[in-house]
Amino acid sequence: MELVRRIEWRRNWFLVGLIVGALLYAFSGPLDDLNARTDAPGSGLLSLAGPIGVGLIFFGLVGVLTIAAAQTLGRIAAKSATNRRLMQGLGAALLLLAFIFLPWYYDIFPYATLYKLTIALQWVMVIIGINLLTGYTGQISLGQGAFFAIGGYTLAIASFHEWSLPWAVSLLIAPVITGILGFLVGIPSLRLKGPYLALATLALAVIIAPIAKRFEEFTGGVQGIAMFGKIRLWSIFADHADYFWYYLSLGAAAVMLLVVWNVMHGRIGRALIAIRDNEIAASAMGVNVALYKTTVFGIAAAFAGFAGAVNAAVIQFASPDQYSSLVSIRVFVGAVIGGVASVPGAVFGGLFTQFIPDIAADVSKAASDAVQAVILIVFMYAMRGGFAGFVVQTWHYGRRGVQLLRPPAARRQGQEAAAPASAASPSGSE
Amino acid sequence: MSDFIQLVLAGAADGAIYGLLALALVLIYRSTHIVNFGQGEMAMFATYLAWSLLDAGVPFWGAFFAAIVIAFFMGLIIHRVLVHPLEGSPELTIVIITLGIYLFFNSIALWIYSGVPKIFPIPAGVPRQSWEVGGVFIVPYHVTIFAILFVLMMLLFAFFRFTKVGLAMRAAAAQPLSSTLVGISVPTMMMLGWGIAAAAGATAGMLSAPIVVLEPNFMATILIFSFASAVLGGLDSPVGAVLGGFIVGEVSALGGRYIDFIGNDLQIVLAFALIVLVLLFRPAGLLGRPQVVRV
Repeated sequence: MELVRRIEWRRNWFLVGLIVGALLYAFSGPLDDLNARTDAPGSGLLSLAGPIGVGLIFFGLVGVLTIAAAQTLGRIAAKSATNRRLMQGLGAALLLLAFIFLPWYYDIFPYATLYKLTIALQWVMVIIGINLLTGYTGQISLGQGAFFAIGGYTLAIASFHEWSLPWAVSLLIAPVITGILGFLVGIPSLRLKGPYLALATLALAVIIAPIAKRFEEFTGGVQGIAMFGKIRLWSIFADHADYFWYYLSLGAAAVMLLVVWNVMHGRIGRALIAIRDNEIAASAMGVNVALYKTTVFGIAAAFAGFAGAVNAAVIQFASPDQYSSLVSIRVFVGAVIGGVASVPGAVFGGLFTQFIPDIAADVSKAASDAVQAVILIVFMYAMRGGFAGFVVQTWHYGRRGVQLLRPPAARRQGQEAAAPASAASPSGSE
Repeated sequence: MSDFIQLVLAGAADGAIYGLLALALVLIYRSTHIVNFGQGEMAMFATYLAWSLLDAGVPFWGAFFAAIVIAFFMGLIIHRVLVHPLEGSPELTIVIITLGIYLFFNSIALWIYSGVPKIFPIPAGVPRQSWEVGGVFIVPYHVTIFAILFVLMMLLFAFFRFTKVGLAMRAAAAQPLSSTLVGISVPTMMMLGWGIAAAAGATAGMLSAPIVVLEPNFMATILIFSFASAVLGGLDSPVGAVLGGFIVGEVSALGGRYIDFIGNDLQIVLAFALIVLVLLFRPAGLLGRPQVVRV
């Protein structure tokens, strides 16, 4: 009993998660049977044991692995800056390799198909833009879906509807057009802050579909523009179109991640963070706030536009229905869940955006959105800084040294007095 | 000319509903600095509850007020359970929570009541026949909407102006720290703000349900227009919200009719164009107070 009371439950919750998750998972079979046999109201909840168990195990494992990595790799990384950079590079390379070889082993993941993964990578691109915009300059944009739509329509109109440019050219024109539009939208956005900016950008997301319907001669109206079988790839890729689009999306997302990562760790990144933390102070230090903010708006829009163009090419269709305001909201949610000021968080966010509806529908067909809502809310409760924030926090906890047990009561008082001094030293070295 | 007046009246009726829901948004924004994306769906769900009561044979006004009371408690509970524990976390986190509220109620309503549209009656005792006054038809139901909006505004005004709780709520919104020092429980005041907002939203839902049909997504468009109204008027000004509602209602009604290019599809675009234009000159809305930040 004494031992149970001394365990640090709060900090080591992922252990609890692992245990409870494993128990739930182990008993999910019998509970499912029970659910099948009884008609009692609410017995449907019993069938949730399995999914909840899997979720808990997943996050428990992430927590334990992060701590293990922090304990071992973290030590090496802390020795010198070169070591750290080397390990970050190694981590990025591993992640990239995992994605490069994904087409060979994706079927071990539930719900995954190559098509869905390709689209998930397109969400990653949009989310990288949101990260840059929201995470680093603090401007909330609920309108990225509009640029996504404009990108898609640019490809469809320029290559297949009005003109007949080669699709590869349109693919490159799309981010240029949306980038310029984003820059222009960024100018009025300079005057708006917080919720006002969020709602003004939400306006973009809402009006894009009605506008597309209205300009029928350009956009094909409600029917949209179909491109089925019209996109001719170069002959080497022609037989493997799905692989081609997957690797194109992967390459583009990787390049965008690299660009953002590098920009963020340099002069521009510091300027952007200064703007986010205190705009007036930043401008007093000589940062051209207006130029930076509008440029970032443009870059984020260009990313979204390129993603939209690739997306339209993959699904071979562009219609108002696929560009409802929901797209903007979904990618925004994905960005926040992934962790908004973090480049790797975007990858998690993209996967989340693509696969969470599938998972929710699997748990309950009738009320899948309600399941999704509960997942969102629980996520935000457990990880206020998003997934990336959670990993970073656990990492720091691992670096400071895991405390499974609380020190006995007699010793604790002495330790607490010494705590401020000892807590300051490890954080100083990082 | 009578055509014009007719349109103005119809626009005003729409505007009153936008204003009412915008008022709910403003009440929450003032008390907790949160833009509640779930407001419309909370109102939608309360409207469905009222429909259930009506379906069970409860008289109209009984169901109407019962739904308002239920919505009030629903608002209290949502704040206590979902919003309050996340106090002090990043703005984005709370935005996601309110989007979660949106999804949750939308899906639950679809699950319980199915997507088949239901008919929500106009209040008992309101004649269906329009009155003709000098070539203009006045719809009695529109008059009812104005009357309810007016009564609600007066009640809220009196509540905030003349009662101790109202004063405490205003204090908690304006100066949370000082209010705590004088013994006001700020979290309780915020919770009350959510309750009142949910009740106002439910009223908006039940008033708009007879005009459009009652189905799980019926508040989505109204919410967008209400956002526009709240932002136009200034997110921290209740009077601004109602004023904004009327402006948005009129602009979409008149613009849709007299500007050929706009038609029925692009009304929402027009409303938003207007708002962006206004925000460019008054970034905190028409009646909102610009925030002064100390560096």
